[in-house]
Amino acid sequence: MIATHVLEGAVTFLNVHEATTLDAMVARIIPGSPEDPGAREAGVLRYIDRALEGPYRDLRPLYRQGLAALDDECLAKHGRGFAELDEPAQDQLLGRLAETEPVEQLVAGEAGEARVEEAPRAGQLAYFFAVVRQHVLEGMFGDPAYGGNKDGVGWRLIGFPGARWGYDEDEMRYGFDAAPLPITTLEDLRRQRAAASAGGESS
Amino acid sequence: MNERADMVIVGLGAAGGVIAKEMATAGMKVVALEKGGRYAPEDVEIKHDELRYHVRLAISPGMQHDPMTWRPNADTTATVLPWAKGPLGLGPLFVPPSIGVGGGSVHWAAWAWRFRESEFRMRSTLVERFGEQAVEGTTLVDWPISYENLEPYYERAEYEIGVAGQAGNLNGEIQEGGNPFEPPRRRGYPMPPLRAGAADKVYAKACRRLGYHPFPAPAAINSVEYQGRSPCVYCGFCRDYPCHVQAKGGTAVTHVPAALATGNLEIRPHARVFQVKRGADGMASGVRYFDLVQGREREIDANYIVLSAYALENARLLLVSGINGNGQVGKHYVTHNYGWFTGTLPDWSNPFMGPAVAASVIDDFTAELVDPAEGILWGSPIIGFTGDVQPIEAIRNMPTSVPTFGHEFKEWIRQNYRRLFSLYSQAASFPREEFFCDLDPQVKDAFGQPVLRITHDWVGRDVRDVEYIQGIKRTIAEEMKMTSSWEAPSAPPYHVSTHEVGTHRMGDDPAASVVDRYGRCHEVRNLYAIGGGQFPTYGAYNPTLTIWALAYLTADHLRSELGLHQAASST
Repeated sequence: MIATHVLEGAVTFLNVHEATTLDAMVARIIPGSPEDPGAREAGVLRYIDRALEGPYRDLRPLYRQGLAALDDECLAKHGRGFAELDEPAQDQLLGRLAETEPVEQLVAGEAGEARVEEAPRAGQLAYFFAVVRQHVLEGMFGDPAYGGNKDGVGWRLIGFPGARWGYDEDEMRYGFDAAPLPITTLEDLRRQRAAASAGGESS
Repeated sequence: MNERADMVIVGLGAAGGVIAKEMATAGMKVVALEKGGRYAPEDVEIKHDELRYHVRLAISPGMQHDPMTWRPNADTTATVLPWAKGPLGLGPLFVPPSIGVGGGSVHWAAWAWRFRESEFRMRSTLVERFGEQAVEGTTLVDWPISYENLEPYYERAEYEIGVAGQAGNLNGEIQEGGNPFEPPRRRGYPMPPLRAGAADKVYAKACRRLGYHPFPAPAAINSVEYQGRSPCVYCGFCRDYPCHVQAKGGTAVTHVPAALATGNLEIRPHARVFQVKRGADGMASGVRYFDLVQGREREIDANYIVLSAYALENARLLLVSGINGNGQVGKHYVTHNYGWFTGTLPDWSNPFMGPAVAASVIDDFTAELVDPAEGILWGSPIIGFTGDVQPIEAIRNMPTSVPTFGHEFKEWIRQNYRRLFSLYSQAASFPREEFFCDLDPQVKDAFGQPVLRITHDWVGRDVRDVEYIQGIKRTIAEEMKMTSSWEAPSAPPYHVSTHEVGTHRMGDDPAASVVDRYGRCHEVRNLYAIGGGQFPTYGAYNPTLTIWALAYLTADHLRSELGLHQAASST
């Protein structure tokens, strides 16, 4: 048995096996290390798990069935689940999904009534991958308030300073290097605003 | 007995806001029913949140609650907008504009264009340039009014909303730094142009070297303090977002407060109108609506009813209310094809700073300005897009040549997010008999109401004209020394662009149009349907300033109809 990554924190919707599988996917979509964080280090798993408890409730069947189908595929081919494959094998599988035309499986309905329609399996899995990739972008580059982008590591990766009141003329020069600017979040703006009101100022 | 108002306005957006202010100021008791919410300044003070506004459509009508359906032709079954719903949706540009008080003038990017003279006589222009065959298969017409008719109203809109720009043609005299191709204006803009985004100099210089004529896009965003509202702070969360300093013009911060100050306007948010009621005399007697705050159905009667709920919802309301005697409602549907073109620059462009509109435009290939020898029926401005590019949207829009995941993907976004620069254009489809809106025979919304069905596809001419403009963009990209570039398909996957118009065409002939030049329904004389739905045809520019100009024209007409005095203009 190959040792898999030990999850940090707790999940509230996904079960531990699902979470481990999804975390392994996430870690291949934007790979990272402690020195150069990727999606796993940014806590994207937490972002998705939390979203599935709320605004993305309709996508629960897609995640449950997508993760199971991904594991089935791996078990049939390699005798191991996705999270237990080595990285090159994981990348190879995801690479195939990325090149396959996605076939949408989720039919929007009332919350909880989403259903999965018959569709070619490869296309369904490709769709699932496309959705996970989209959610990785959201968890990596959305505000940390949503559970991902821990300590702004997603923003730091691309040199984006985050939620800011504005930019001045010097900062808006062509060629200005924004990477050294401090990263600020929605929470920072709220604190700044509260401090400004307490001080009787406004900006 | 039902409650009663002098006037009920359905949809307190760009057009509805103007009518509310003009009529409340003239002394009418106005009740505005607004499907969306009403936001206090403190609600949007910290709005710098791409997930909330762009990804999760906090203020835009999502397809779950406000579904619409689409099909490419009448032989297929329509499905709920496949490109606008679900986890892979394309974002707020591909659903109708924002709702709530202010309507689309909350989320808008604030490009504030006057239409060209030729766009008021599109059919004649095409026939003059290319012969009758150019308009074959289309339902193109000339407008019942000209640019000259609308000019004073454009000016009024520019001054009341507050537009920053550089005049290019003052009373026929070409002005340095402005758009040499613009139609003549009697008065310059009330504010100087915005501070341009970082990459704009590179774009404008490249255009000049190529012999084109760049000028700053007219922007309804304060470049300086204007009428008590703050200048822009260039936060970069503008298009798709409410403004946290009220620098972006929109009726929520201009006309609505002025209307409320009269004491004559009552706003009812979260009110979904589902029917215009008619009396035995055929006149409109009131409306029925779902009050989502009280959780019940209500009615209100009025002497005048104004539908200003967007081109699509106006058409739907007319259709569900059975007001379509001549079969013209929903015909002549037209939308924009944006021709997105994105590339990377050698140095940092920081596309997340400042508003998208703070950039140059060229009109050298717009509308009738393209050399007729090119065979392009209707050209488009080429518009710099220097700001408002937040990370999630940017990365979704990355080139397909780069892997979508893994180390290479990570390196690409690390190296390139801060070098992006986009150009876009606006090619309107031509109205055609086979493209229209009607009520979907099957799909209902969460309130049991039939939803609007759009039948539309991009045809050869649409694609050809966009291809041509993409070619010019490639030339500019090369001159800008872009290190890479990529393009959206010229027949794009979307058929809603927040610029839908034409669905209740205005005209002098009651048999061939839905409303007259004042937005008054031919069929129901105390009912008005206003906004972009009135446009008989559509050209190359964003619609909102023209929607405002037409709303002022409607207001003038209503005042004279009612014998009311003109409100003192704040200009």
